[in-house]
Amino acid sequence: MKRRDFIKLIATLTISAPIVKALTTQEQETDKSYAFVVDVNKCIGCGNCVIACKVENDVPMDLPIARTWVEGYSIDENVPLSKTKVQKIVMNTAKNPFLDKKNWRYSKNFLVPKLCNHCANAPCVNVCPVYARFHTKEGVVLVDKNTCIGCKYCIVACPYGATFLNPEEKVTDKCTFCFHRITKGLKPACVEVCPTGARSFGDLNDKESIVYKILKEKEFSVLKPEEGTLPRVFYLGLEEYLVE
Amino acid sequence: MNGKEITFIVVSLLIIFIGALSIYQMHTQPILPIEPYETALGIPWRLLVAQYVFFAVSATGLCIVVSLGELFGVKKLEKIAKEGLVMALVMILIGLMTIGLEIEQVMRGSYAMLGHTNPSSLMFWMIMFYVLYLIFLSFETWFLLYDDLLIQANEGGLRSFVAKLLTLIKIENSKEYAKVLGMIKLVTAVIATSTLGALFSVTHLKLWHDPLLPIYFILTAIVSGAALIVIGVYLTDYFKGLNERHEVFQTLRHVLVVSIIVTILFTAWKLIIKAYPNSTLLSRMAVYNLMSDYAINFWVFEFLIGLILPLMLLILPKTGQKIEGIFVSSLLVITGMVFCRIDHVVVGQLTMKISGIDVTFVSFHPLEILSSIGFVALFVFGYYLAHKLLPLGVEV
Ligand code: SF4
Ligand code: SF4
Repeated sequence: MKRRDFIKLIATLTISAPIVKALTTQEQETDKSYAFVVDVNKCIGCGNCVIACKVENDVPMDLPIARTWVEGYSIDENVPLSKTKVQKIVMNTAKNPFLDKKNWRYSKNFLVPKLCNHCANAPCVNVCPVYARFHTKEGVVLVDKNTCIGCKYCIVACPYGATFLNPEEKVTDKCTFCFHRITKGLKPACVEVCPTGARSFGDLNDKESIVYKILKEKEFSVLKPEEGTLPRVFYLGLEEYLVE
Repeated sequence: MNGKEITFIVVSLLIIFIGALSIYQMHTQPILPIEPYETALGIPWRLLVAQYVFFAVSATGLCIVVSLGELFGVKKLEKIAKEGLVMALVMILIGLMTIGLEIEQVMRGSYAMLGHTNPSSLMFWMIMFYVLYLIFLSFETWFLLYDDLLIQANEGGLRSFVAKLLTLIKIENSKEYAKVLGMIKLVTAVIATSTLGALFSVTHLKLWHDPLLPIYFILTAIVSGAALIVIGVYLTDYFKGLNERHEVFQTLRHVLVVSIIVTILFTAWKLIIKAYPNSTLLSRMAVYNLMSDYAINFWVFEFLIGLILPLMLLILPKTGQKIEGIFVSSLLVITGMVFCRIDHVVVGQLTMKISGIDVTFVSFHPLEILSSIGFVALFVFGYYLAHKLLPLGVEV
C-alpha cells in the first residue's frame, strides 16, 4: 500500500467499521499492511513484554530506555475531574514497579503498554537528515543503524518518546515490530510472551488475522490523534483524557 | 611577546586540551564505561547543541552588523568590517566543530556528502546553508584582506609567510569581489540561521513550535552579533592601547538598543501567547517550566541581566556615551544570550518523554561543561591567532 493511500484511509476514519473496510480494500496493491493492537483492559503489568523485547533486541536491560514499556496510571476518582490527581509509574527496565503496592496510591488503576506507533506520517522519518529512517512497504518504520549519524533529531521529533539513543551502539533505536521475526512469519517477541493477550499483531489485509477481526468488531483509538501522525498501533479501552 | 601573552597562550591551550579530552571521553569512554547523561534520563539535545546555536546564530549576527557598514552604507561601521568578518569566520568554524563533535557518528557525514540525504529534513538544509555560508564568508574575508596581505607579505617573519601563502593566487579588484560575495553571504547567512530556527519550529514541542521562531533567531542574531563585535573591538583596542573608535561604539550602541527593544517585545508576546489560558495545556506547561523551574535562568539571567539591565545602561547618557558602559552592556547581553540559548534548547525539551519517563530537570555532566568551556577557549584563541597572523590593523 502506498503511504498516501494509507494516510487517506486513516484520515477519514472515525469509527472502527470504515477503517477496517477501507484498509482491506487495498489488498491488490501490496500483500501486507501490519498493525498492532493493545488492549488496555487486559494488561496486568507483568512486564514480560519489556524484558522479552530487551532480550530479543539487545537493549541494555538496566538502563531506563526501552523499545516497549508499560505506563501505570493511578487516579483519584473521588475528586472532581478538573482536580483529578494522576500518578504515573513506568516500567522500562527489568525492575517491576507495579508489584509495589505503595505505587498505587489512588482508587482507580490501569496500565498502558506503549511502543513505537509506526506512524504513517512519521515525524522521525520526516526529520532524519540522512534517510536513516524509512517505511517498509508493509508500513513498518525502521532505522538503518549503519546510516544513522546519531544527531538525535528523531528523538526530539517523536511525539511519543518512542525512540532513544542506544548508548552502546551510539545510534538511535526503537521498536521494529520485531521485523526480523515477522518477516519469518513469527510474532513480535512482546506479543509472544504476553500472558493475557493484551498485545496483538497482524496483517490488516488478511481477513483472518486477529488485528483485522478486533478492529472490525471493537471501538479503538490511537495515542495523540491531534498530532496527525496516523499511528499503526491501535488501543482498546484507552482513557484518552488521562493517558499522556 | 610578553609574559602576559605567554600565560594567555599556555592557559588557553590547556583549557582546549582539557576540553578535547572531555569530548574524547564522552564519545569513546576509555575511562568510564557509560556516561549517565547518555541514557534516556537526560534530554537528547544538551549543552553542546545550545552552544552550537549560540555560535551559529552569533556568526550570522556578526555578518549582519558588518554588512550594515559594508553594504548598506553605514560608514562608521566600515571600520570594523575586517574584524567582524574574521570573528564570524572563527565563530562559525568552531560552531560547526561543536555540532560535529556532538553528533554521535560524525564520520558518517560522508554518506550525506555522497547524496544520502533527506530533502524534507530541515537539518539537512541547515547544514547545507551553513557550509555554503562558510565558503562564501571565507572567500569574502580573503578578498577583503587581499590588498593588506600584499603589504604584509613584505613584513618578514611568520606574518609575512602567511601573507605570501594567501596571496599566491593573484587577483585584481579584490574589493569588488568582496562586495558581491558579501551580499551573497549575507543572504545565505540569513537563510541558514532561519533554517536553524525552523528546525526547532517543526517539532511537536510547544516552546519551539512557532512559525516566528526563524525570525526570532535572526533578531537575536543581531543582538548577540552587535554585542560580540563591541567586546571584540573593545578588547583589541584595549590591548593595543588605542582609544579612538568612539563613533563605532556609538553606532553599535544604537543597533543594540533597537534590537534589544524588539527582542523584549518579541519574547514577551511569544510567552504571553503560549501561556494564555486558551493555549493548549502542553503549551502552558512549557512556559510554566521556563518561568518556574528555570526562573533564575529566565528572569535573572536571560531577562534582567541579558536584556533589561544592558538596555538601561545603553539608554542612560552617563553610561551609554562611554565606551566602557557599552562594553559592560555587551558583556551582560552575551551572558543573557548564552542563557537564552540554553533555555531555548533545554527547557524546550522538558515536555518530552523518552520511554515513558518525564524529563523534569536537567543537570549537565561535568564533561559536557568542560568540553563546552574548551570550545569557548578555542574560539578566543582562534580569534587571537587571527589577529596575530592576519592584517587586522585597526583603522581609525
Ligand atoms: S512513534 Fe515516534 S519513532 Fe515511531 S514512527 Fe512515530 S515518530 Fe517515529
Ligand atoms: S539520530 Fe539517526 S535516525 Fe535519528 S534523525 Fe539523526 S540520523 Fe536520523
